[in-house]
Amino acid sequence: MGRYVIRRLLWTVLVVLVVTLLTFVVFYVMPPGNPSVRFAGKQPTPELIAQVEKQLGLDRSLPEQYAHFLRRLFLGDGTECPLVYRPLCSIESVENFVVLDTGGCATGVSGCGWPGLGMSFDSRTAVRQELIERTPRTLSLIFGAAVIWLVVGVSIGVISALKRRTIWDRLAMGFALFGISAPVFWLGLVALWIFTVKLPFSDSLGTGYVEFGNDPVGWFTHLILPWTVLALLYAAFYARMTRGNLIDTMGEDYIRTARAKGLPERRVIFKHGLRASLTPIVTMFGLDVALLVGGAVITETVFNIQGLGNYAVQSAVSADLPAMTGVVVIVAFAVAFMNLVVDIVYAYLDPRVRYS
Amino acid sequence: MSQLAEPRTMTAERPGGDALVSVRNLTKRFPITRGIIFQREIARVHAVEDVSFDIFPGETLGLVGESGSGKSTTARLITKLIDATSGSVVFDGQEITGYSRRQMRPLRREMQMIFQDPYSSLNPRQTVGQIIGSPYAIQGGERNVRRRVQELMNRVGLNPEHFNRYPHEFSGGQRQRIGVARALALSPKLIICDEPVSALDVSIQAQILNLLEGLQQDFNLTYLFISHDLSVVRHISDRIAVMYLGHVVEVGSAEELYENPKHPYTASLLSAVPQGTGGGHHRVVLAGDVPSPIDPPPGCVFHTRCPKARMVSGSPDEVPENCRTEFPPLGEVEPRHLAACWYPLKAGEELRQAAHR
Amino acid sequence: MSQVHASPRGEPLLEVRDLRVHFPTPDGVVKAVDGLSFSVRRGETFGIVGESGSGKSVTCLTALGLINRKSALVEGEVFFKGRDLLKLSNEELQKIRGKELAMIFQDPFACLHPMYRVGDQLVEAVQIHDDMSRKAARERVVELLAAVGIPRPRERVRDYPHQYSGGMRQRAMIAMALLHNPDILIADEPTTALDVTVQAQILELIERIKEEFQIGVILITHDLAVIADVAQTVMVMYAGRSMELGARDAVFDKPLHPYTWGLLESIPRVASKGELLVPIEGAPPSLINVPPGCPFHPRCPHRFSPCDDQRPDFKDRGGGHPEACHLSAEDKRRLWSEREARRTKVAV
Repeated sequence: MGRYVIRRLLWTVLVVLVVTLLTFVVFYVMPPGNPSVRFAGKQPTPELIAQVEKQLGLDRSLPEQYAHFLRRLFLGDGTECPLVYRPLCSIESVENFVVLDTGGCATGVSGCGWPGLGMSFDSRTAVRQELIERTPRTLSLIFGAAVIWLVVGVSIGVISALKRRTIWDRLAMGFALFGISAPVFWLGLVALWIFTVKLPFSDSLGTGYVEFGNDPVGWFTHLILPWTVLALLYAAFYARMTRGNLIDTMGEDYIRTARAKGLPERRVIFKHGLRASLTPIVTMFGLDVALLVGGAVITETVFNIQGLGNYAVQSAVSADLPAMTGVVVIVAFAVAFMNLVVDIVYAYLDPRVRYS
Repeated sequence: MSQLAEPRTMTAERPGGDALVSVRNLTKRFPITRGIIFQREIARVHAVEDVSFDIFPGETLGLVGESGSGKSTTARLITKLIDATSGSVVFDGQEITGYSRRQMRPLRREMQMIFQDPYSSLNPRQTVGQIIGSPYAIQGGERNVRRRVQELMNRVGLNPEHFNRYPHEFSGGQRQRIGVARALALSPKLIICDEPVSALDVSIQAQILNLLEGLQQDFNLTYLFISHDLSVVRHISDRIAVMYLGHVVEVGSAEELYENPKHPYTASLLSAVPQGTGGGHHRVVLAGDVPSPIDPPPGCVFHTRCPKARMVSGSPDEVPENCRTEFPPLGEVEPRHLAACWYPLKAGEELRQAAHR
Repeated sequence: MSQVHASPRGEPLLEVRDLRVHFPTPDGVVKAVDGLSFSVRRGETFGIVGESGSGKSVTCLTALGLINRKSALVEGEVFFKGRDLLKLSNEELQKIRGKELAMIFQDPFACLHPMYRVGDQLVEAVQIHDDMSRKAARERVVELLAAVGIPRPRERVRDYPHQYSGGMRQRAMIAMALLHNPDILIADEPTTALDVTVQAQILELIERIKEEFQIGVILITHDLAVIADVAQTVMVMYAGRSMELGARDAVFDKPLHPYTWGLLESIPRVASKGELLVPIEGAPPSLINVPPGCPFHPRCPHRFSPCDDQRPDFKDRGGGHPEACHLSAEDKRRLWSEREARRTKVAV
């Protein structure tokens, strides 16, 4: 088991490195033209371009630039803005890149480095800082929703599988169909309307995000609606999947063996049946959670949670390169990390994986 | 591997007559790789090791062995579904070992296969007519495909009017008849039957076996008949090769091999078959399981379980040194009866049960 | 139709009387078992032989309560130690299953849970019926694994099923079945998935256990040779019914039913070469549309007027060898000897 975990860990590190390399290439190497020309403004003099190039590090070899990028990514962008930003800060528009105002640069907020996450073109804040603020919001949203959809989805799936072709099965699968078909934005708006406009306890529920550290109760009440709305879709999927898997598993020979041993049916289902039917769900779960890190856009928008999904859309719409880089890297990390977790949990659940 | 010796001549096996298939020193090792980025080979599955035999026109050669003995791999090597690690296969006078896919194409019609599972080896979306007729299309087309297919269907005992039916409308035995008809369609020289009756009910098995025998007479077919069922193999084969852990350990006429086995493995295998005579017969129960083909025992691969070696050494825990160190060559023990054993059984010699378990 | 087969060797341990198991489906009623009676004694290996779909497995699964009772119509009686198993509740059956009645199955690769250690699965089986500490249960498991011939059992209990070979898995299953000294061991095609040499080991093991523990063994198989080698009593099944039932020698040497004749003639025997194989024409019937009268009559070369509309009684017509065929005893003797002669003539 130890060997296996180490192997998976190394693999994950490698994947992360490859992802950062791809990101670097896609965002910094592939765009045509010399970036320093764009940064040097409308009337670039050769001297200015050379200066920008030097200060951006573009005069160095690509591997060096990449190393630079990596360092910035993991360790932050340094304390001061590089000098080059001061002359640049007056420039209103850098070709098709967007406004780079004095604001952020003049105050010397950390994080304007290039390459690296740098400064958002759009909001003039450091991307890194933005990510640090937004990540907990999205994680809170995902965490709560994941707990709900797992518990609800798996329970409904189990009941449905065991009471196959009864009224309970029909009801459960009806719910699943509703959950899968109902669009999140509609569901979210309806939920908001019912719970905050129509019902008396509207004060305690709300939109927006309250930090857990400041007000745990507020954190919970503000998130309960988005959790439920987000979880509904997934709960429906998981209910269907659990049902299908469990029905298949209960037909396996080893289930018959468990019964032939004289085990009570409850134990046959929960110890022998569920364990085998949950392993595929672990894989799904890991990927779903990871993808939601950058993908809970609608829920975040409807409930006004300034999370990563939100940020991803904003930055994509306004071609905010540094912000996009940041989101892409974080989502990639999340996927790699969740894959690692899934692999380890899977190996724990299914010994055959460990030994192969 | 020391047993990869120079090719031996096998003509002693059956003097006169040119073999349709000549297999010499055929070896297949599947690499097992491990590694995160760079796959390095950590071990090899010794699936087929230094196998040599001939199949003569018009005969049925039975290939028996337990699971993992390399029977099916041998068949796949002969048909070149997989490439051999070393050794040669001569089919109808042509050395096909190095043939490319394209070079093999004209030969494909000459060698056909019948598979174990009639359910999964037929395309469920094709009608019987299409399935049986498809070789004509693949091989360049033929007029009156339908008439030809219906003749074939009639010959294998299917109702020709069922031309447009789908496989699921047929019973297991009938599906195997479809498989036989498909194999026959191009009048092949060699038909490889890979466990063709193992998935069928007993009462149906006999129908298919009789059909195969009848077709062989009518069309002068040559069969390589692979099975783990020793009774079936004996019934249908003229000669039999016994495989154990990738090696052919004994080859002989069906009669000779069953009445007078020379290799201790063959003898143990035969004694393990239920005779249907009410117990009581002398049974040599081999201890333990077949060793892993990844790490086969040195010397004779059977020495770890061999009762005869223990009789020779006189102790249940010891075997003679040459059994442990050197693989015995497949040599002629009696005329046309070959065995790979240092201490082949004499006629009538009984194996005593090995003492250790 | 009680007491179909009387033998001097003690009281029957398990007695099945006129068992019917029907499964209603949208396509019609599947008559998996249709009027079956037999009994099994202590120290006896009772062989049930038949082709796929003949109802061999369903019979035993029904006795153990392992079929879904809601989806099946079950009639008849299965007496085991004075109780009718069919009338017991699920809870009462659970107490018997794995304790007094144990069962092993065909495919040892699929029968053990792949995600739990072999030892843990056996320990669970011990503790479910005996109030025993984990440690004591583990000792019991190691002891039994040793008894069924698993080398180094103390270490191997920690292995997962995929680390066992097929033969070892079947041994582990047998050990599991024996944990509580059952009265009856039901073995459903226990060697079909195994190689011949391993099959011989497992059959020998079952034989030894039967003698040692003095239990009754029900051996279900499609392999006539296996049955002939190990069973004392043989029942031949076809389309959910019993065709004939008798002592092993009687059934194999003087079979009374044309279906048995057909079976015997369609298997090649390893002991003799060159015999003519006489297949049974046609294929086994669908259990939804079992032919009226004798279910075998469409495939029977000896059928005559009553066969297609009158179901022959399954009864003893003298000789303690009950069967279900309309032919007269004399016809049967004559026909069988003619078929025998034809078969061996080809062999010579």
